[in-house]
Amino acid sequence: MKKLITAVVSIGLMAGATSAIADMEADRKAFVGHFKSIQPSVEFADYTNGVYAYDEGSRGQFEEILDGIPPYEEAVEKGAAEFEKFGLAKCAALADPAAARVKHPYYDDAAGTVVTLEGTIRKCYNEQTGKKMGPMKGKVARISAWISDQAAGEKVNVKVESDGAKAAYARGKATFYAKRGQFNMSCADCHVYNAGKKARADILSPALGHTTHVPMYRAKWGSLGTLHRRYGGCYKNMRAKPLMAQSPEYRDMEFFHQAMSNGLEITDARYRK
Amino acid sequence: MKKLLLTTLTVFAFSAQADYLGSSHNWNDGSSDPFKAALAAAESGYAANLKAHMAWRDTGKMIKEAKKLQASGNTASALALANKAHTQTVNAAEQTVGASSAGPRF
Ligand code: HEC
Repeated sequence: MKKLITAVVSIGLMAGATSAIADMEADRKAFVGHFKSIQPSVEFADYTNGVYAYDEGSRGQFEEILDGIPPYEEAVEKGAAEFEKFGLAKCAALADPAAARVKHPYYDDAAGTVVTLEGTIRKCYNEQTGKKMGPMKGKVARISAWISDQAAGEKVNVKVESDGAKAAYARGKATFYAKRGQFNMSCADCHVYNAGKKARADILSPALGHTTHVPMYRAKWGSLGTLHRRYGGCYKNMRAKPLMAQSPEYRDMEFFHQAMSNGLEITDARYRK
Repeated sequence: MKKLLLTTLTVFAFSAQADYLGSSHNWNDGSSDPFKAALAAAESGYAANLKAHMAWRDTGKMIKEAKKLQASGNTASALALANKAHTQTVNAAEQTVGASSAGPRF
C-alpha cells in the first residue's frame, strides 16, 4: 500500500514538474475572466476593494470607516516610527519604501527562493538590531502596512520570469488549488468558484484583489495581520494544519496569489470585518 | 455553501475512506497489541502528512489524546481514537496524490 502511494505521489510530483512551464499571464487572464463571468457588473478596478466589491450591504459601513479615522491608523503611524527607530531605511532593499512594496514578492534567482516584503523587513530588522521579529502581527504587520501605504495607488506587478520563478509560481498555484484538510476543500472552492456567496455570516471574498490591502486590519483580530496570518486562519477553517508563516510553501503561494492581482491598485484601505 | 460542503464531504467519504481502508490497510498485522499497532500506523502516517505539508488540523491532537486515554486505562476509547487518527492520515495521503499539480477548473 505504502509502495503504491509512494509511486502515485512520485507520478504526481513529475506532473507538477512539467507544469512548471507556467504561463502566469495566461493564467491571470483566465482568472480575471472567471470573475467577470460570475459577476459581470463588477469593474476590474473595483476588485482592489476586496469583498466590498461584491458586498453592497456592508460597503456603506466600509466607506464610513474609511471616511473617519480607521481603527488601524495609529498602528500604521507606529509602524512609521518603528521603521525610523530600527534604521530600516539603511537596508538597500527598503530605502525606497514605495518601490519595495511594488517589487515584492519576487523570485531571488541567486537564493533560489521567493522573497516577500515581510521576509525583507525581518531580515533588515535582524541586521540592524541583532534581534528577531515575529512573522504574523505586531511590528512586522505595522511596518509592512506603513511601507505599503507609500505605494498606495501604484499597481500590483509581480514578475514571473526565470525558470526558478516559474517553478515557484507553479508550486504556489498548486498549493492554492489543492484540496486539503478534513473538509477536502481548496482555497479556490471558497474564494474562486464560490466568491460572492454566503458562508455562515460572511460573504466569500474573491481571490482577485486579495492582496491589494495587505497587511489587513481585521475587526475580529482587533489588529493588523500579515497575509500569512490569514493563510493560517483559512487553513484552520479547512481543518488543515497551518504551515509556518513565511514558510517556503506560503511564500510560493503568495507569489502566485499576488500575481493573480497584477494590474490592481495597491490600497491603504485595510479594513475588513 | 453548506450544500457544497456536504456534497464534498460525502463524495470524499465514499470515494476515499470506504475503499481505502477496507482491504489494504491492516494496521494490526504483526502485533499482538492492537493499540500499539494502531498508534504506530497513525504516527507514521502523520509524519508523512507533515512532510508533504498536507496534515489535517486535528490528527496530532487525536494522537496525543489517544495516548492519554491508553495511559489512563481507557483502552477501548484509546484504540478507537488511534484508528480514527490513522484514518485521517490515510485520507490526507490520498489528498497528497496529485496535490502538487492541482489547477483551476477553467
Ligand atoms: C470554507 C471556505 C474557505 C476556504 C476553503 C478558504 N477560505 Fe479564505 N476566507 C474565508 C472566509 C469566510 C473569509 C472571511 C471573509 C472573506 O474575506 O472572504 C476568508 C478570508 C480570506 C482572506 C482575507 C481577504 C481580505 O480581503 O482580507 C484571504 C487572503 C484568504 N481568505 C485566503 C485563503 C487562502 C489562501 C485559502 C486556501 C489556503 C483560503 N482562504 C481558503 C473562507 C475560506
